[in-house]
Amino acid sequence: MSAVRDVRSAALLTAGLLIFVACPKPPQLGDPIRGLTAAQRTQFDAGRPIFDSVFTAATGLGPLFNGTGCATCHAQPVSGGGGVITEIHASAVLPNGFCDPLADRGGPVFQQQFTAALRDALGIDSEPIPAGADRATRTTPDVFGFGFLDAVPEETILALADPDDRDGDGISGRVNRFFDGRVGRFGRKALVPTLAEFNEGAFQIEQGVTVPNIPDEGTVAGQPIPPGVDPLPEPELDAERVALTDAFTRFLAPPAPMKLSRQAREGRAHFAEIGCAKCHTPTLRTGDHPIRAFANREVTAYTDLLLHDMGAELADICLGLVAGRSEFRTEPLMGLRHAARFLHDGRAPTIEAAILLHGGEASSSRDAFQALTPAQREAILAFLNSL
Amino acid sequence: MRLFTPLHCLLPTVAAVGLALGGTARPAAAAGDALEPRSQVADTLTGTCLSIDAAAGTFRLITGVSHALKVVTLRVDQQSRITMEGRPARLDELGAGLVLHIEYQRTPAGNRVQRLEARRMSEGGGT
Repeated sequence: MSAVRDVRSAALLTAGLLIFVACPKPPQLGDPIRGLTAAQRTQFDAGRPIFDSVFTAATGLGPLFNGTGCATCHAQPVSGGGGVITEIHASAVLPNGFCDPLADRGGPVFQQQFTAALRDALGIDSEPIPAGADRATRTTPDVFGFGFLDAVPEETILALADPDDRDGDGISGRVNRFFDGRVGRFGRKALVPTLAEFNEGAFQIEQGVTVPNIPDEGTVAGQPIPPGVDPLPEPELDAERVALTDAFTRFLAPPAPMKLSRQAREGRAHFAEIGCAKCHTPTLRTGDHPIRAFANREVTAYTDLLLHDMGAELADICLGLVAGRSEFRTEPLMGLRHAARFLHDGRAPTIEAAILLHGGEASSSRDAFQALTPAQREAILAFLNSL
Repeated sequence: MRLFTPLHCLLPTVAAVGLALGGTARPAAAAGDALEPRSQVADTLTGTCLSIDAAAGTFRLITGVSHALKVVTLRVDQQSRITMEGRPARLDELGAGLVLHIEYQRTPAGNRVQRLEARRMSEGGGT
């Protein structure tokens, strides 16, 4: 009997130690997710200085660009966060209804800055936007937790879609698709299928730094870049450094929600009651994944990664094979308390202002929010400020 | 993250008690954990048809990575095999918005299509 007692005592002691070891404080902003291997942690640490680096023309910047480094824009409150710097996207709906991303005229992202060499060669200092195109302003999103969003199986997104509103709830989430037909999930219009592509594209589009999968500098509004203004050989960033930067963004932990107060718990209930959670789906589950830290986990992202009609007031551009002007991907709300401006273009100075700007499919939830008592509205805001 | 809920914290306790009672804990899955850059396949392209010039036997295709898009012009001739949803088709039956998968050759005269498969994507739906 005493041997049994000893075993049980040892088990309880072990359990206590394991609780201590298994439940350390949640990652802080800018920390990696838990459960990485030593090699993955090394990749994360090696990727951070590349993410934080500032490019110059001599190291690959430009000749067209929006920012001089990832962290130039993704800076608040730490590297990987959002920012208030905005950029310009544009597209056009052709007479046959097709959404033209203006790829042959420099679109859909029009760079706002030129290197000195390009400026001197062309006598202009930003990429011209075609006349008549629809324009959009975009703020910088944070990328915390994006590795988990990348790990959500495509089947999950497809299963959440209800393009014809067959369940009759007034919400008709649609899947956007990239130009090769794959399901999109990243970007305010859910254009980009994978995080790796999102990261690679950001080097070339935002910084003018070519990478192995995008080994050309593009054009200036469809015109070739003048010879001699960007003499560095392509790609300007090698595959290893691209992979390390990808590892940094992929492994950045989602902001841990704060412990909910009673008011915030009430707000969470109201959030669901008035229909917000129909699009801001509280949790998504990842599937099998080659990186164990991402496999079969639940992420509290508050998004369905689908497009929803947000109404005429917010409408700007179409993008991809599906997204119309008024359709936007449900913005993930994880880390919302760290944001300084709200909505895709930063027009809302507060969370409440953002809620009140919801239209289209979200009109009924917005109206329901307005019909709540002040205390109930405050509770919802307390909940959202805990994310 | 729900990874840090109390329930999650109890899992090691359950495992330890299970071990103490003679159970066998399932070994952790091996981590196959390398991050690899995407590969690029030569001489095939998948993208969206932007426009067709049936008289010239050419079409323009939107392709690229993320928001880094470009437009590629390709040429078909009598040897090019074109299908639409699996059925033989002509170039003038195609149109903007179709997703095209193309096998092609780079020649001094331009990009010559050997095989072109066109398909419509469902309208924001599940397939």
